[in-house]
Parts: sequence; structure tokens; C-alpha cells
Amino acid sequence: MRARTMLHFGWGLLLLFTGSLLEAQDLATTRDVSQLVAALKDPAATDHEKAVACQLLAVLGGADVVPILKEMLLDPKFSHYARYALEPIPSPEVDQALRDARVNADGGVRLGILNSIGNRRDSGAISIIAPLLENSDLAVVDAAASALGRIGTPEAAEVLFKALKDSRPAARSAVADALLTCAECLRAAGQRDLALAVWEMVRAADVPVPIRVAALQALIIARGASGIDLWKEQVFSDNEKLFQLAMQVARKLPADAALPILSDAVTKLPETRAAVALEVAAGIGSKEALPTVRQFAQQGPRAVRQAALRSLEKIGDASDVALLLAASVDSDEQIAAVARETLEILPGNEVNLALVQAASGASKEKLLVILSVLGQRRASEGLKTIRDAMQSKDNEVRAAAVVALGKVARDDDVVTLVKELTASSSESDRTALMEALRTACQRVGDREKVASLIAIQLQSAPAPLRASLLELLGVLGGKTALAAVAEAAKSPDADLQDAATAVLGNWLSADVAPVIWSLIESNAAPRYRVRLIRAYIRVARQLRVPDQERLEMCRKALSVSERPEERRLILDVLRRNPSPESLSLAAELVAPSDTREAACDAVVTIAEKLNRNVPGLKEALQTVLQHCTNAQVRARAEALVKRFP
Amino acid sequence: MTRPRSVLAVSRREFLAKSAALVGNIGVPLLVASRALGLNGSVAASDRIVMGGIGIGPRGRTDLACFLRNPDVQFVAVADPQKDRRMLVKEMVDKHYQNSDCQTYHYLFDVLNRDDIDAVLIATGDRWHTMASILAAKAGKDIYCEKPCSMTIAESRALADTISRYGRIYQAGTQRRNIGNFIFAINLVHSGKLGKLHTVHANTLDPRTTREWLPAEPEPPKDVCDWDLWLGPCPWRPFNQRYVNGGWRGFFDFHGGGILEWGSHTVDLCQWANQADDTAPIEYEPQGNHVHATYANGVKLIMRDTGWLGLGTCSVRFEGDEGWVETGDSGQVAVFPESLRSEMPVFTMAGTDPSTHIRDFLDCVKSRKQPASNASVVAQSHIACHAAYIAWQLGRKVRFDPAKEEFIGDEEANRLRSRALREPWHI
Repeated sequence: MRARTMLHFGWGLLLLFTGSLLEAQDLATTRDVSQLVAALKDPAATDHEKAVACQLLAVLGGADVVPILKEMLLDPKFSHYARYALEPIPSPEVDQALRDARVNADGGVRLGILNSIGNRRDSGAISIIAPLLENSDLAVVDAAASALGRIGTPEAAEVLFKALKDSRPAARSAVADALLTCAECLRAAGQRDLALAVWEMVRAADVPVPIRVAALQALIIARGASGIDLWKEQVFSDNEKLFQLAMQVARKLPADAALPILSDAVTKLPETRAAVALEVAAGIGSKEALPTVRQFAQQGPRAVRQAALRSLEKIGDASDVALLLAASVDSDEQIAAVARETLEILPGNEVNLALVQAASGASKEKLLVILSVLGQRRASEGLKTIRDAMQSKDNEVRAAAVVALGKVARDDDVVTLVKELTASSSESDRTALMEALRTACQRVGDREKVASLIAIQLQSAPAPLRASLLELLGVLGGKTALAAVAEAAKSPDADLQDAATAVLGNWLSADVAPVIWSLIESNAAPRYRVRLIRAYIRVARQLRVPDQERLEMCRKALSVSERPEERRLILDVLRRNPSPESLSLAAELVAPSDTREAACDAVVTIAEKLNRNVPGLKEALQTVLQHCTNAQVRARAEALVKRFP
Repeated sequence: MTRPRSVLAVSRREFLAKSAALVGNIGVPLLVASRALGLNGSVAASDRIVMGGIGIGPRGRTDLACFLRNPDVQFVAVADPQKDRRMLVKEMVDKHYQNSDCQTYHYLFDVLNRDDIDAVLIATGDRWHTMASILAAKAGKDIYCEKPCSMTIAESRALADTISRYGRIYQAGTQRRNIGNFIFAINLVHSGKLGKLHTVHANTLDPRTTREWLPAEPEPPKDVCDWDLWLGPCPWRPFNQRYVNGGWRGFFDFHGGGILEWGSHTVDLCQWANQADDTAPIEYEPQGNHVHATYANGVKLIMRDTGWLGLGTCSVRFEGDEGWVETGDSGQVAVFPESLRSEMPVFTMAGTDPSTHIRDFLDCVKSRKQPASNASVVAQSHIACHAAYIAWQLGRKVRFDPAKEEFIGDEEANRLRSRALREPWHI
């Protein structure tokens, strides 16, 4: 198989294997199983043809195709493809074929057959698989054990039990792994006691730790409340893997039983483990764990304290604000960082009110934290505090307030910030104000109102600031902003044109298209004509536009695109939006040499996506075949011509 | 079940992740679980998560760069059947640690058998993701695995069951579950601010794959590229360099198609929005390249590759009877009514950035909590994608029982739930 070139098709099967049969959607149209069987029987058929036939027979074949596939099972070259077809066929003939083949198979073929028997959960095969658990080839033992595990009956478990005493470690591992699967099958079938016995046996077996851990986990969960003592042993185990298991399983145990043990563990375990135990306790114990969490949030080994502060974000409340604020200015920066993060996340409007209250009379250090946190929380309750801080004489406090205001701002605050921006003489202040404004403009409620206020400022703003205001209008979006930016694009001021056309190029809604087209048509910004054409194409390519309108936009863009770069972009739009009209339009660009390759690919891709005969298809494909030099695209075009003659 | 997440928490972590990225090797990123840090900001050896890599290509190296930025990670080894790829990873890791300690292996078992390795990064390509993850779980490793995580419904189930059986921490590379704008959109749904949810939209790609084989080329020496191992559990076909250079996408044997390619992100988010992390839609109907599905609670799931607002790749849109929200990888969010914008933080993290998602994984390795994209959640969203692809392949509507993970009264669809694995591989 490996020595042959596969892409040649025998003429006898040409019709079967061209066109739609090579796409995964072939299943929608293929129904003639006899052709597939013929491919398997035909000595002239290529390996590829046989492979595809097997993949289709996996879905379409019935008991009648089993004999021909059975013949292939022992052939190392085709055994897997035969199994590929056989495995999903729900017929007892398949089980018999696999059992028969297992008897005669060896090497890799045998491993594959065992795997298929396991996937089919053929309990009738247990007796012929069982002897393989003693095979000298460990790969065979592994495959046989795995198959028995998936069969998952008490008889399979019994066979695997015996094999768990194998003297070879790798064999024991394979068997123990299979027993874990088997136990799950048994439990699902209502054989809980037998499943528990399996897990007990695996837990005690001489097998690698991960397998024993898995058995232990299953045992603790299956036992429920009566598994607590066994779980507790793991909480205090020296073995890291067992401790990890205990922490993971804790979330599946009754909280009232687990919580006291975890609280005890926090005080007794080494720091790193105590921190994990505390987080787990907070996770499962919720409010019941609060006293312990608050205690360690104020004092304790560093890792445990951090865990406690982190846990407060989930189970704490507004009464923890003072504690967290104190920690947020701790000399230990790592403690402070965790406390600040928790303040930002701690849920509830009461937390915002507590922060506002704490701002009154707070030290500068704490005030900076409060401003930052209020901003991060988008706490409208903090607006007055932030506005007051904007009046501070302390530059650091003022800067923090500007940042916070950007995040919390109401519509009127945007105008205040814009006025500050136009009045500011400091470059760093302007940078901070712009950042705040960008943030604020993304969130305003009435963007038309805010846009009109910024548009007014635009008229009187100093030249260097106009680009910034245009950028803000772009962030805002909406009709008013669009009109103001369009007006700026027509300005005689080249810098303003530059900024405005750049903003139009990133506009987020399709209503920008007629505005851009008007600028192109009137040649109002000749210096930025190419930019505008590309912006227009971008709308057709990326934004939500009705199909007919998109097509019309492509036609219009083509009529003004003088460079091949833009024409290729248009072709990409057509390629992504297949229709008979886009096909015709793409075909028009096949002849010019600078768009030929992209146009050929677009025509073929559109035709493939349409996947039906449409007016003009034949002519378009003939044009491609006449001009195209790319072998792969030509081959796709030829396949289409054959499919839609 | 739905895992509650705070948009503020993630916003904060996004910020910290960026800080960490800027600080690089020089400072100590604040983001790191501080219990892992020693007094001087270094990480005690006993608190480091020792990691290995399996099959690290371009996307895997993006993940790896993020892992390396976390000082509580010690990356020590990589296995790859392609020599050039494993050497690239070694170069990257050695340069980061300024030593030459990263071990390279041909076989993944050489990484999995190392007792000192706690966790692995798997980014092999779709065909190997389930198999490698299952082998890693059985070896007791925690796993960060790129998406898509499975090739079939059967693999999805086997993956989730094995991870659960072995008690491992598993995070799929569906990082949008830890990116602020997507969480904001989800929270709008869950808070009821959009009214009663009726439709969720997932940005998918063209579902098409091909059964074609590329022309045979001479197989390279095994040490350069072990073709048999590269294929792993997939059907054999002749070697062609294009496959191993990343050109395997679009081939049925190696790739789950365009619904799974992006749906593993976007359908996953729709599942979350619909609080359906423990189930999947019950009906799937192909409409051209799109598939329309319906959940048992009546919510529609539209998988489509056109008609988006242009907010970036992997967009999602959630519609309720009082409003809607759409967002994508740009971080931009469009909402209606617009008054909801006032509740919106500013999102600047690209949807493709795995930093916060990787940090979530590392924290969960330590705390043993389930991460955002755990195996159970991911299995269900992948099953939804596979079921949609099956409907598309058959070209007809199919009905699905999520509890039994069976199609109802449709044997052909049921037969597409699994694919026989090539020997000697089994799951």
C-alpha cells in the first residue's frame, strides 16, 4: 500500500470516485452500496478507492457486506480499513467475523481486532480473549485487557481479577486500568458491590500511583458519607498525589462532614497545603467557613493569608471592606495585590457604599486604592467621591480620579472630560484624559447626545486635538458621529482628512458604506482615495450587509479600483459570499493577468460552495480552464466540469 | 453545570496578564498565584509545576510562550515525531531559561513516563488530541490541550470519562471562556438583561472536508519525521510533506471540519450562554453551510459563517426577547438596548490570547478546582459540533438524545459517532 501512488483512479471506477464522493458530504448523495463493494473486489482499484469505499460502508453497509470485509481483516494493509467499515455495523455477523479473525490474527492486526471487539462490547468473545492476558507480548496483553474492561461484565471482571497477579508490572498496569473501566460499567449496570470490590482490589494492587489514586477516588465518591474516614486519611497523607486527590474529591462530599476536617487541616498542614485546604473549605463551606477565612485574612502564614483574602471574593461581604482596605496597603506587596483584586471583585452594591464611606478621611494611600477600585467596579455610587477627587490639588489623586471617571462616567461627565482635554496644556494629562475618554465613550448611554456635544467641541478645538476628538466619535459610532466624521473627511485640512478617513476605515456599522462611497465618488479626499476604497471593500467583506447590496458594493468598488490589490480584495469578498452573481463577477476578473490566479480560485471556490448547476457556471469554469496555470485549481475546476457537465 | 464567572475578575486578570507579558523575565508578574512565590519573588522549586510538551507546533508555541511567562512553571521536555518542531521548542525553552536543559524526545511516552513531570501541554493537531490526553491522564498528568479536543462523539465521551476517572485537571484551549468581553456577553444573558433567551449564534467556518489523498512522496527518515507515529490512530495514507507542514486541515481523517474548528470556541460559548454545559441540542438541520440546532428548552443555536457585525473572528451573538449582544475576538461588544453599554468595562484582550486561560489552568492544578474549559464541559460542546457536522454530512435533519448521546431513529447518523482507530492505538 505504501509504495503506491494513490491519486490515480481506475477508469472503471472513475465516475464513482470523482466529485462529490471525495467530500465528506458525499453521504448526502451516496446510496449505491454495490458500487462500493465493487471497488473492494476490483483488482484494478487503487488503495485510495478501497479506503474511501470502506469509510462509506461504515455508514451505509449492512450484514451483506461483512463477507467481503472479513476477507480483508487479516490483510495487514487493509485490516484497519476493514475494521473501520465493520465496527459500526450493528449486525451479529460482524462479531462473528471479528472473533474468527482474532483466532488467526497476529501482530498489529490482532491488536486492532481486539480493539474493535472491545468497542463493540462483545461479551461472547471473553473466552477467546482471556488466554491473551498471559501472552508474552505486552502489547497483546494491553489490548486484550482493554477490550475486556470495555466489555465490562462480571465475567470480564473475573478474568481481569486473576490477571492482576501477573508478575510483569506492565501487564498489571494494563489490567488494573481495564478494571477501572470495567468497574464503571458494572456500577452503571447496577452491580455496585462488585464495582466497590474491584476498586478495593485495584487500590491495594502493586500498580502505579495514578491507577491506585483513581481507584481510591472512585471508592471515596461511591461510598459517600461513609467514605469520609478514607478521605481524611488522604487529607493528611504525606503523598502529594493523595493530598491532591483529597482536595479534588472534597467538592463531591457532604460539606458538613468535610468542613471540620478541612478547618483542622488549615491549622496543622504545612503552609502551601494549608492554603489549598483553606480555599477548598471556602469553596465548599461557603458562609460556614467565613470565621476561619476572616481569621486568616488578617493574620497567618503568607500563603494562607493570600488564600483567605482570595476566598473572601466569593464568600465575603461589605463588612469585609475595612479588612480588605487595610490589607490593600500592606507593606507586603503580594498581600496588598490580592486584597485589591478581591475588593474589585467582591460582589454587591453595599460594597460600593462601604468604599465611598471609607473614602471620607482616608489616607492618601487608601484613597488611591478606593478610587482605582471604584473605577474598576464601575461603581456609580462612587461618582461624587471621584468628582471630588478630580478637584484635588494632589496630582496623583487627580490622575487616579481621571482614570476612575473614565470607567464610571455618565454622559455628562464625558463632556467635562472633553473640556478638560481641550483646556489641558500637559501632554501627560492629555494622554490620561484620552485614555479615560476612550473608556467612557465605549459605555455611554445616549451616544447621539454625546456625539453632538463632541462634534460641537470639534469645531472650536485646537488643531492637534481634533484627531483625538474624531477618534472618540469613531468609538461612539451612531448617526451624529458619522455625519461629523464625514464632514471632517471633506475638510481642506489634510491632517483632518487623514484622521477622519482613518476613522471611517474602522467604522463598526454598515451605514458607513454610503458615506464612504459618496466621498469616493466626489473625490473629496483625493489623497486618501485608496484608503477609502479599501474601507468600502472592508464593509462588504466584514460587516452585515444584505447579499444583493454586497454584490452591488463589489461592482461599484470594482469600477473605481485601479490597482490589482483592491481588485483581489473584492475577489475575496465574492469568494466568501457565493452566489450565481458573485460567480459571474469573479469570472470577469479571470482574463486580466494581475487578478487571474485569485479570480480562478474564487470562481472554483464559489462553484464548490454552491455545489449545484447555475447559469453561467459552465462558461465560468471554461474560462478558468482556459487561463489558469495553478494545477490544483485546474484539477478542482475539472472535477466541477465533470460533476456539472 | 454552568460555572459562574466574574467579568470583573477576568478584566482584572486580563490587565495583570498584560502586565506580566510586559514584565517578561525581569519582574514578577502580580498575576502569579502568590502562594507559589518565595519571599524574593522567585518560586520555590517544590511549588513549581513541572511541565512537558507533546506535539508543539505554531499554536502550541504561542501557548508555550504564555506558560513560560509564569514563574511557577518549569518546562523541562518535549516530545514530537517531527525533529524540526521538537528542536524549535527546545531552542525556545533553553533561550528562556538560559540553559540547555530542555530534553527532546521522539515518543510521547518518554515524557509521560517521567515522574517529575506534573502536567503536559498538548498541541498535536486534532487527530492526536484525545489519544494523547487519555494517555497523559492515565500517567497521572494534568493536561492543557489545544482544541478541537476530539474527532468524534465517542472520543469526546472517552476523554471526559478518563479525565474524571483519573481525577486529572484538564483545560481545553478554548480560551474565550476566560476573556472579558465574552464573559460580559454571557453575564448579560444570565442576568436576564436581554430578557428571555431565544437564539444563540455561533460563528463557524465552512464545514467541508475532503477524503482525497495528496500524491505520495518518499517518507523521510523516522528521526526526521516519523510518519507512522504522526498518523497515530488515523487511517494510513501515503506521506506528503504538506500534511506535516500544517496542511492537514481540511482532510477528513485529520480534521473535524469548519463547524468544529471554530465551534469548539463559539458553540462552547453558546452552550454556556444557554446554561447548557451539561447537555447538547436535540435537533440539527443543515441549511447550506450553516446548521440550525434546537435545545430541549427551545433555544435555537445557529451555526453560521456569514452575516456577522465584524467584531472579529469567533464571534457569538445572543438574542433575548428584550435585547441582544454580539462580540468577537476584537474585544468590541455591540449591544441592544444601548443603555447596556454603561455596564460595560473596556476589553482590550484579543480573543486568541490564551494568557488568562493558562493562568486559570495553573491555579487549578494547585487548588484542584475544575477549570473553565474542563473535560466535562468541553465534551458536551464538542458533541454538539460533531452532531451538527454529522447532520451536514448526511444533508438532512437529525434528532439527538443528549443523555444517551445517540441519534434518535437514525442508524446512519449513529454510525458516524465513532471511527475505528488504527492499531495499536485504543482509548
